[in-house]
Amino acid sequence: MSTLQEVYQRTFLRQLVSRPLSGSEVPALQTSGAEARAGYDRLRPVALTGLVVLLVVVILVGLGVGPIPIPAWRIAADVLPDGLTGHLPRLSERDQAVVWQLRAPRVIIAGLVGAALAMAGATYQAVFANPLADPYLLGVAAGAGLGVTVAVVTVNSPTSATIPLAAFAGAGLASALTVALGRSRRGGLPAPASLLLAGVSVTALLTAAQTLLQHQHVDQLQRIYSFILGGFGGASWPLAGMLAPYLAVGAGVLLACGRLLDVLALGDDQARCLGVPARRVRLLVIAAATVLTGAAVAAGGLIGFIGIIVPHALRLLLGVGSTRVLLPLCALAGAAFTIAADTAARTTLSPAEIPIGVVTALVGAPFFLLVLRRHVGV
Amino acid sequence: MNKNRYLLSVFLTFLALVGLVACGGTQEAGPSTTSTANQGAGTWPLTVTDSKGQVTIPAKPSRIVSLSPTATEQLFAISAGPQVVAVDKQSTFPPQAPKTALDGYQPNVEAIRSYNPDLVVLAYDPNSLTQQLRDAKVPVITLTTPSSLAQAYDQLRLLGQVTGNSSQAELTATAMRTSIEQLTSTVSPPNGKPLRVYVETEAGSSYYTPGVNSYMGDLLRTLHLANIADPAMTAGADANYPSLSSEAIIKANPQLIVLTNPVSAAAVAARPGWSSIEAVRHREHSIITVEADLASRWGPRLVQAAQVIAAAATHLQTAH
Repeated sequence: MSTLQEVYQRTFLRQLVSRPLSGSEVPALQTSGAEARAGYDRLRPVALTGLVVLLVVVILVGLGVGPIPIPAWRIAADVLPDGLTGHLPRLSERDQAVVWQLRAPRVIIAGLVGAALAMAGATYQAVFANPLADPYLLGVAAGAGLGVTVAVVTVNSPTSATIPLAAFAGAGLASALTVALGRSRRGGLPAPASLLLAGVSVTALLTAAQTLLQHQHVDQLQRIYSFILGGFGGASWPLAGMLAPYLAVGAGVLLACGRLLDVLALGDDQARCLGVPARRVRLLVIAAATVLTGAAVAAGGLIGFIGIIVPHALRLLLGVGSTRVLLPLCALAGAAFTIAADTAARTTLSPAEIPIGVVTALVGAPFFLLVLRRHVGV
Repeated sequence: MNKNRYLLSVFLTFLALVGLVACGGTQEAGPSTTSTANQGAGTWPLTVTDSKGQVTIPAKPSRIVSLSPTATEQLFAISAGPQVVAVDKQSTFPPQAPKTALDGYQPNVEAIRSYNPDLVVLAYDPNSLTQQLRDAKVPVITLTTPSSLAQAYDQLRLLGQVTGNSSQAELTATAMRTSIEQLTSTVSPPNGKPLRVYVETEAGSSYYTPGVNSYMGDLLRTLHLANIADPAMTAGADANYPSLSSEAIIKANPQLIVLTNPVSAAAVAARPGWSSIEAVRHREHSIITVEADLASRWGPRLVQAAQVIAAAATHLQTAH
């Protein structure tokens, strides 16, 4: 057990078990197969409760810290009825504005975006049977980046709603383009490999267009880069409202398709034998994951690492193999991780903010390596 | 057939996206260093010290190319206008300046040399433009964003010396200084407590504002106004052009907001959480706009920006 490929073999075990093994793969199975099969594929209450508690703690910290520190009990006293709190003083007008208009939507949007990216990442990894698949695989990031660039250079003073809309539109167009290009010559539904290749070329094409536009508008670079680096500085309740329906639909479809995703992991032929239309299911979940990613990118910019780290950390730490089990855990852990990262991003160098992408990479990459070492013994 | 259609649609999408190009506003910020003259005027060759170091000007320039909107305004203000043959496309003032397609943000050596200049004035050198021009025996003066008003006045004097317009430059610098200092008396706070001011240069996920080590910060100080980006008010704020989070601005609670970007007072008031800021609560005269070209350039027209800010501050202080 020494390479990433072997981690992949272990975590995508079902696929391994289902197909004839070559000689070299057998030892790997013997060391970890029994362990992986021993009940890791159901939702364990301990893991679920632990993540819920973690999420609640992270939310309370996120609401409380900032340039104006407000203790959690004062926030609690502000929402609970007077009778329950023994008439504790409410927050001042300024502190109410800070907690409920600035931090609360920010924490909620960060949580939703984190949940969306982690679920999308887990889905892409399962669908493409590729541990390095991330939510930006199908050109979503490049499309959103181009959409924002076009909006920034054409609209004279983009309002707070322009950029998310442009990002979402760009992401949608890019992934539609990828699916269109990835279709087979006969017009059939796309196979995973051709989708991947189409995603790579769409990304290259749109990135080139984006670079060209940026080159002609160097004076607008700051605004474009602040989107590309990601962040939740623009969080507001209306933005949370815009985001929620897309996330609800995307997450709903994925959670409902969890069992089908596990069947897909057996391979297309096996799935077909079990009555699952592999390509159609794959396209449906890809569409749902892409809606999640597009909405996440629209609200938070291009935040890297969450879609890769969260699912893998859960697979490795909790030994979860089944995508059906992984998805709800991803939602909780992704939300908690992103809220924590955003809290760090806005408090570390206060009064300035660091791009959250920097935090997720700085914290995420070493954490991921640590997890890999402990579980794989690199 | 299908494949061709897809390829065509890709190509058309690409063209459509590339075609969506329009112009945006200009904005300037950057590091700053001192610029002082060190020799008498009127004799060439002349060695001066600009923002980057010593420069020798071999002869009185008569074909000046300006790649900095501020330098363009400064040159015309000190009567060196007739010596200017080309200015960059961001140089929007004065109207008689010979505006060209030259781009101050992405300067192109060949394009600059086609004007056959005997002096190039820059604010910004993204690559090795200065070296390339000097290799071609074209003298280059770099005048970066100053960190104080005194440095802004010195830039005028330096340009006067280099172009042979020293006396006019001295007059312009003195007029600029006295105009700003006269404003000081109108805004001096009666009770000794300076008005808290927030100047916004760029709004995104966080807010960029001139710090205490910027010419705008110096202007506020000269006008006896308290800059909320002063580390005394906002701990940890960078001295040059800090970015402040919404929360830091709410905490500093400015009494006057000066917008130098295309954002409306209503949009500022609608920002989440900003309703508790004193300037937003009173709004009527406490959120003002200063044209970006006046506030983002440190030439003689900075006085106009100072007048607008001083008038608003005076109004607020008499009202309080």
